[in-house]
Amino acid sequence: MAETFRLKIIAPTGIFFDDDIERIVIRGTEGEFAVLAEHTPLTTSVAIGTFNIIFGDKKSKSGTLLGGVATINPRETIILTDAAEWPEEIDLKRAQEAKERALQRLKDDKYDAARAQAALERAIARINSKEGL
Amino acid sequence: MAENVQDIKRRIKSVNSTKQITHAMELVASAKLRKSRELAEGRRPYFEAMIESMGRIVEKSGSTRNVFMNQRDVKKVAYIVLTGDKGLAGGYNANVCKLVEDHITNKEDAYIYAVGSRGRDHFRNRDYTIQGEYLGISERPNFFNAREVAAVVMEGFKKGEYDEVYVVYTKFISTISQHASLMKLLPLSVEDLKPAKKVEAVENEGKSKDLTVMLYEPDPEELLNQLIPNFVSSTVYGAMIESAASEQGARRTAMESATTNANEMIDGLTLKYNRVRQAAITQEISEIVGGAEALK
Repeated sequence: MAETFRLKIIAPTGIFFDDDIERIVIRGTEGEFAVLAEHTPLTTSVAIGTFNIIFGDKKSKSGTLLGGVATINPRETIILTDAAEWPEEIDLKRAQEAKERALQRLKDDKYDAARAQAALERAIARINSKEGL
Repeated sequence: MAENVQDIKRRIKSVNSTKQITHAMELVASAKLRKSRELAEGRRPYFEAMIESMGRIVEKSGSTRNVFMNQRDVKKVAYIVLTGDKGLAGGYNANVCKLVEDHITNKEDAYIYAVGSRGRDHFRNRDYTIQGEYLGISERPNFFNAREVAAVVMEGFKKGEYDEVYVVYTKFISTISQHASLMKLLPLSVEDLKPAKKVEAVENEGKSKDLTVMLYEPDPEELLNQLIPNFVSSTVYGAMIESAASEQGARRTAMESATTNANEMIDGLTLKYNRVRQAAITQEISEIVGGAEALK
């Protein structure tokens, strides 16, 4: 069995995930990357997107991270995120509606483009995560 | 006794129905209080982990040149006033408003961001500048509400619209005790960000030597820029949930004493009712006896 390390995903509302895992793939702002045990200490920002965890017994689990910061140490990784979700918590219909709404707002000057863009990214990440189930 | 039996009976009934309402509100408030406290506890790990990583970055980069750390001469001050949307919570809303008023030195240079309609109404009626209002979120605040408020004040601070930002909230001490408090949100002081657990860090130094070569991607400065809004939002969020818990606590206490008072009143009225009834009966008997006497 491959070496494992501790992963903690912490959201403002509480601890979302706290367990030993073998590998996690995250979308960083600088591109997608994987973390294994004994990773070089690194602090990096996390983009809005999906993540995929592989446990020691090869079982895997994925979910959505809505941005944040990851602090990686050899034996422990802590991800501070604005919000994290499992696919089963995501309402596909709501996400699709949000996507439509964000697209509408991007065309309209009345709304804040940056906010609409962020909403769009969130909606897309949610839809991807749901459909990848 | 001047009052007649019917009047007293009616009053007992009315006090009783008020009592039922206050009692129901008390129960609702305790249920909500439990939920709010859970929320408040859930926030702690995030906040602590964030302070730690921010502290580490500040320490490493040694930079304190972030916009949000700029100390300026204080002229214009913004207040985020956290009150409830509803009353009947004892002094909960009034205490917060009073604290803000006491702190404001110059009405013209104070800008109010009101969370909760009670605070908004209070300051609107007294002609303060209400810069923003957020209604309907005080009872169940979520992180995104907090971030919205935080983003607005940070923008204002950045542009120099205010030189200081305060959050006024109600600290939750225990279920029966809550305190209105004022907390400086911006500018951030470097001391706030330095990890508090210095002693522990020194003890662990031997073990964690490999941590010293932490890499940053993107660079620390930029990460800090990303973390600071989160820190501020999280602080606002914390104040919001604490206020929410306090509101429920205050309401519960207020309603509990209202219920007790109602009970006392009912007891008093019942006593009075019985007395009046007794007196009426006695009077009736003596009238009958008197009438019988007269017939003899």
